[in-house]
Amino acid sequence: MRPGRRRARAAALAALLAAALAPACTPQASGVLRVLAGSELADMEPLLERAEQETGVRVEMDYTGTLEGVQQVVSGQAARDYDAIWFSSNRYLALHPEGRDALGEQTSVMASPVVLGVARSTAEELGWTGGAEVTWADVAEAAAGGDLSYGMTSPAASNSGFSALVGVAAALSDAGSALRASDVAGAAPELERFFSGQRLTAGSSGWLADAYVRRATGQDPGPELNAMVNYESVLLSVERREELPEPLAVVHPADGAVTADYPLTLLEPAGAQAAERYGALVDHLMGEEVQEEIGRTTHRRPMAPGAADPGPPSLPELPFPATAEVADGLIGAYFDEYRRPARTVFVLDSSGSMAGERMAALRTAVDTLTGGDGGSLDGRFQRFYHRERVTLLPFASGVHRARTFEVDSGDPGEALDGIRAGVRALEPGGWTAGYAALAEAYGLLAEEETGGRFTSIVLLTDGEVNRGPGLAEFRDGVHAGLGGELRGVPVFPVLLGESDPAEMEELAELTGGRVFDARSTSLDEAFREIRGYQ
Amino acid sequence: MKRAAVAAVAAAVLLGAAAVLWNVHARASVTEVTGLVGSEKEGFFADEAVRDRFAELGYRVQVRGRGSRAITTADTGGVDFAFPSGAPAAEAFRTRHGVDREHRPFFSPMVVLSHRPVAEALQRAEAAAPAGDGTWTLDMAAYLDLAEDGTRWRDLPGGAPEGTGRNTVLIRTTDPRTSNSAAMYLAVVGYLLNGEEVVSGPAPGVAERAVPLFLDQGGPPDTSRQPFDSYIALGPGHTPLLWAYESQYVAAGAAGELPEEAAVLYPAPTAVSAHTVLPLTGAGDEVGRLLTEDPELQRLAAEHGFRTTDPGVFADAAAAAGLPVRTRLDDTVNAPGHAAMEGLIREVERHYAGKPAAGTAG
Repeated sequence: MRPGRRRARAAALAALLAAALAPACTPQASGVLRVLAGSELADMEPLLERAEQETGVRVEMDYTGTLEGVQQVVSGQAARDYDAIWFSSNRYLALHPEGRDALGEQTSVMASPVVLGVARSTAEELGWTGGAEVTWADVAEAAAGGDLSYGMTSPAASNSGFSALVGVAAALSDAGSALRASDVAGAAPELERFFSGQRLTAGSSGWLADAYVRRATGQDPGPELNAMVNYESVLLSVERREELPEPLAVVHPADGAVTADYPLTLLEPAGAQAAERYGALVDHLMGEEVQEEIGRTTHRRPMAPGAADPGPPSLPELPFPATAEVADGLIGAYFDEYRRPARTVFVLDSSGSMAGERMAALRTAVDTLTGGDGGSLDGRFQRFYHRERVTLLPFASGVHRARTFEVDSGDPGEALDGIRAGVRALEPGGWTAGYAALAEAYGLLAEEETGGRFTSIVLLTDGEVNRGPGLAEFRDGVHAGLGGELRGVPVFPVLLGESDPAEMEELAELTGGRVFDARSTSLDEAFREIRGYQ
Repeated sequence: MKRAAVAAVAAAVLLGAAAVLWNVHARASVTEVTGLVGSEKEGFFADEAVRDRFAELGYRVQVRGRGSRAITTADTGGVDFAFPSGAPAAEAFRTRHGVDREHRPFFSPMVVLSHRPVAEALQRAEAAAPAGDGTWTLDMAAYLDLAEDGTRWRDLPGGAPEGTGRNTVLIRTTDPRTSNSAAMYLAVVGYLLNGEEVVSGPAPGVAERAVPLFLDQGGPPDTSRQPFDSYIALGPGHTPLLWAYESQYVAAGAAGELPEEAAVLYPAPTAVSAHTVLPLTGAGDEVGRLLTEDPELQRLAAEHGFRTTDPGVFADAAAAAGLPVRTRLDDTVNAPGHAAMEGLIREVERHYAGKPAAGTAG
């Protein structure tokens, strides 16, 4: 019998007994449980509030990206700050010995496979409606034929992208059991075809879903997508959004999927109090009524039997790699070989206020991207990718000379050294002509063939733009006049020092980008996080 | 004299009062005991009826669930007893912590949980057969042939059961590095791969053939509870065959939680796992004794699917739940000793770490 199913009669008796002894003891489990959680679990907050009312256990969730969370656990930092972790999956973590050793009791609270959502008209054209059998190979076919443009999260930043990569690799290599390096190598041409359809990447599954909706409704200037790889639960929530011009059809590939199972996990060594609070919380969450509510409000599949009725289709579980070597090899090949290459312009403030610490921070951040932080799990893939074209465009009172590098697959070192040297050579001085530099960045991109690349602009300023055009002039005079493809190139503003958050937010919204705040973290972390969107 | 008498009376009164207080306190007081238990036994300790019985006996037992083998290396601060499953895990804990006492209150044979259409597909492949008592027999040698050949479900005579198609016929187990349940699987396949003899020393040939049976499953779960929860919730496509404790099956069946088409297969041969209490304190020892000797706790254990010293108690509990079980276990093998088992597991571990096996070049 599972803890969620204790007998009510006995529970009532125990409550009576507890009441009788009340002066001697407070409720056993009450108190705070500190949890490091994946950002997609923010939708559990209402259920956790109810859990607090009913169990006395207050859950304090701090959110982070999946792989960044993995890094915190492996380094031991998570165990110092938290009692438990709650991510969509512990599988990548468990491939690493330090990660496995940190895990205590685990309870899968709910589940959601990573599948495909397709705009209904596209699904109809492809003959994928009405219960038709669709395989991942069919999806690769449609992508290679130009019939499918989809968004998917970065496998180095988010579990849904990683699960999709693993699942697709297993399906396309027709591996019947855990992927091996040889399976992956054999399926490379098929994987390239599959990923030729990916036109949007993101650091989180939630942002991806929002971006899909914004593009479909025209709020975001990026090219419209007609599909998205994401958790079934996210697709089902988007499917019902009223503003979508056409609903999403959720496609469950017949050859299976990789399923997230959301294990709420106690960290070792957990104190007795934390263990007790964890136990009380899990009992509550696994109760039939709460499980039904999870199914209803989050669209994830309940793990308590009978709570999902009628149940969604049972999918074959595509095999997951057994070793970190295979998993990491797959992620590396995705960035360096399978997916479309990146085209990135770094518009870098080198005004006087950047002198000293801020310039040093910029150098550190660029060192990380050029060296790859091989020592940390998340940093291993937060780097410039093979085939990526990178431009450094410094500005101060005016726009300085741009330098462009292409990271060659055979000899990546040359371009990476050049990028590092280019940033080291920056000499701060002068004012901040941010929008003039941004206009120049779009100008540069207009001169080249960027189609087929993940193209984006990073804007780093540490103060208000005080030279050249302002945001309104940029919007009306520059951005409004951009051609279709260029209009869809997002700007990712990075907040540092005295930058104007509201204005940068407006700029991000205008271009379909996202603001990253290096004031609360570090420039290094912000640059690494942006990698998920490039 | 008078003062002495007053003092004596006062002392007697005080003593009396103290005695009354002591008595009241003793009756209300409950000994808190903490155990590290194999995750398959968490449900038993969470059951209110079990907690109530322990309360009557003067104990409040808190447990932390772990893989049985992980218990050996877990932090034992504030822990009164360990309760892993399987002789090798118990032996490892005893050695590491210098424990010289033990109690063996329950036993569980290992079973394979499946779904009727999956069992029928294996029957068409002549690897499984219904036993007439509602249970099935899984011919482990025939299964090993299928698994080692990389046979897909879709390749079986009559085609694949729904949802299983492209995957190879492979039993899902826990992680042999941390969990006893998977170690029992290794004991059974090791026996077969060793020419039907229990592995008793270094057996590189056996390990070499056993390793893919684990690595081909991909990243394994840590405890026996996780894949069991997936088996119950996510259907035959997710988990067509699961290596599990019989107790997990009976407990879920008694609670009405098994999938509609659940099928229980008794592997031939199978292994029987002894659940062993290893006390670290006097209170932990007492809990072990109570679990073994208290008839009410033994009855409750049977309700949770554990076989106890009296086989009738288990049979009654299964019958009350209307669940088919194999009453007589004829075809069982012993687990290898601790050292031989460690040798096999270390070989599996090396492969998980992506390192070449010891003794092979490069």
